[in-house]
Amino acid sequence: MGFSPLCDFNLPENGVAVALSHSPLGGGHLGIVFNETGGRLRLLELRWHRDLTVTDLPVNNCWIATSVDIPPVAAKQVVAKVRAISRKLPKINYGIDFIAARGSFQGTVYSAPKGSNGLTCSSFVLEVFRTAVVPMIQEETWQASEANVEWGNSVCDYLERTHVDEKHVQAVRSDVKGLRLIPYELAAAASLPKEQRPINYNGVQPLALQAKADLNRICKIPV
Amino acid sequence: MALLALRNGLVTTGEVTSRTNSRYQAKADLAHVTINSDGGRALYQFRSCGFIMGSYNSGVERSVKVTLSASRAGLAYSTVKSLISSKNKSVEVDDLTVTAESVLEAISEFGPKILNLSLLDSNQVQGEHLATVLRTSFDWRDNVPGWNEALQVARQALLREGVDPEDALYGLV
Repeated sequence: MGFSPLCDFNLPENGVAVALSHSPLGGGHLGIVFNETGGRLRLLELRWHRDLTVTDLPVNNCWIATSVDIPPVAAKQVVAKVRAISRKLPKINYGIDFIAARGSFQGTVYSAPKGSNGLTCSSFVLEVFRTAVVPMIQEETWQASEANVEWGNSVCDYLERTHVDEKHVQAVRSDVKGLRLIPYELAAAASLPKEQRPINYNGVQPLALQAKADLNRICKIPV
Repeated sequence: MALLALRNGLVTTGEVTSRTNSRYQAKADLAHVTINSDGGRALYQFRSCGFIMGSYNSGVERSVKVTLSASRAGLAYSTVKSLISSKNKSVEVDDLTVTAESVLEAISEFGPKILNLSLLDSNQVQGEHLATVLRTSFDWRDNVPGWNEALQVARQALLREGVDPEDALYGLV
């Protein structure tokens, strides 16, 4: 399944989609699109440290979206669970270790597992789908990179600049080991037929590049 | 006030086990009561009443608190049970959302053991609602009594309703 502009996106009542946009930090930004009661299309996204937001569509900035392939009856249950989380909007710290963050949600309650300092926009989406029992990726196959170390350090600098508690920034800095779930990667995984999920690191890389290309084609890169 | 609730049908079945002769003491065993959806409000009113009584006798207050806690747990469980009943034919997303939120509220307040899914009868449950309960409580599946057993019950109920269990139970099996 490909990506299309969010502004033209049609989602059935029992549908769930993943939406991708540009991020000032690089690597894209991810959210979940779903229908609220009354057919209101909404976007749920972890924007930044303790800033989980749900917004009615349309939104001003440019996004692309892809439907998540879930069997239709199960999809209704998944929407129910996404709605429940979006109605609670728990406070979530920003943290980059997505392996330690596995199991961050117990129902709609966010509780950082031992060793986790929080979630990124993409690990938030991953955890919502995990708690709705929709597996996306094989986390254990993910590989570290130097580029991710650079990104991690720049994120910590930005956390500092935005006056996030110093202790928290130190904790996140200690997690900068080059392992990261990039929004393009999860967006690509979400776009796959259910039979091909959960996908491993190597399998998703070419698809992540395609997701990035789609975003750059449909949404102008901010200058 | 609880007696009024009983009389008015807010509490559908129940038994007042004892009342003392004391002016300020009243004790009702509501732990095993089945309560309909409006019953909760009456119980909250009863709690306020209990607080006033408790100001005269802290033992009574404690007793009322314990009784009400058990009653609210009973209400939470009864709500989920009524939502997964085969009498509940509405299976739109909005309906399943109510079920999911009821499960989450019950677990959040009383813990996963409140959801006893043992000994469910596949002829008496609605398959999609039970599947929603199972998906919603998946994170606690090891602590919900009868969770695995209920998976089989859901499968049978779904088959009876003509819904593909592989679709409805996607990821749960």
